[in-house]
Amino acid sequence: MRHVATNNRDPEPKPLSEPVFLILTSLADQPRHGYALLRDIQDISNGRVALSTGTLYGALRRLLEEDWIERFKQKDTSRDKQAYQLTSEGRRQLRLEVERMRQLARVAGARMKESEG
Amino acid sequence: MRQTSMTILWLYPAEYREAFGPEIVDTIAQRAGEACLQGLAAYAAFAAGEFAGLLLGALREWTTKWTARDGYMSPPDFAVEAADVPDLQRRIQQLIRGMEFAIANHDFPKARLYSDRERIMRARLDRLLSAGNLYQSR
Repeated sequence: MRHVATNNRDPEPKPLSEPVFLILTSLADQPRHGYALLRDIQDISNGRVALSTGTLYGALRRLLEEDWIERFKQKDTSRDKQAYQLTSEGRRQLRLEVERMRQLARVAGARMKESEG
Repeated sequence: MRQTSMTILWLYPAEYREAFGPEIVDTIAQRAGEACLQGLAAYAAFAAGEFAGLLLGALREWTTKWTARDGYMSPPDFAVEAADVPDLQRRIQQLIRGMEFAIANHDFPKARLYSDRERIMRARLDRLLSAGNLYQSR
């Protein structure tokens, strides 16, 4: 009775936007606070994506709402900082997206090989 | 930079400002320090980008707030760090009551929403209980 049909477990999830994908990727190996996230996103995108702070926190708010990430106080040398980490749902969404991209890359690679060969 | 950011943050909904304001100001201050070292032009470009981002963010947050069906940044989602086990249990009960009320009124989209929220809160409660190894007292 408790669980009315939910749409959170969509069999065909929509592709993630690039900022969301990069945020989830950045949090995949360890929790990070806002500034560390921004730096890491710039690093993993080879400097191509430089999110503004406003954009980052807008995306973090949405991800918290979706329960894909959670925040907690990270002990810092000077003071406590809010840090973010992936939830199991966030990790699942990232895995689905990676799988989707991998599949597309496989098809693209095969077709290019076909047309070149 | 810090002062201007704080001023722009007053354009955001109060809930958002309370949840993220100090963090945003700290992050911008840290980035400003870095941009400062790269020269005046880089600093000016950085400041323009940040302020534009903040202004657009304010617009986006108000749009989200005005169009949200179920309330904007409701406490069950954002007060997790402050919540303890009894608090989470109380909120779950509130969500169940809200869901039952919505079903009784044939408001099924709202019932679905309460159900989703309740599932999320239960997952959080489980995490909190397992983190504190509190299963015995459940």
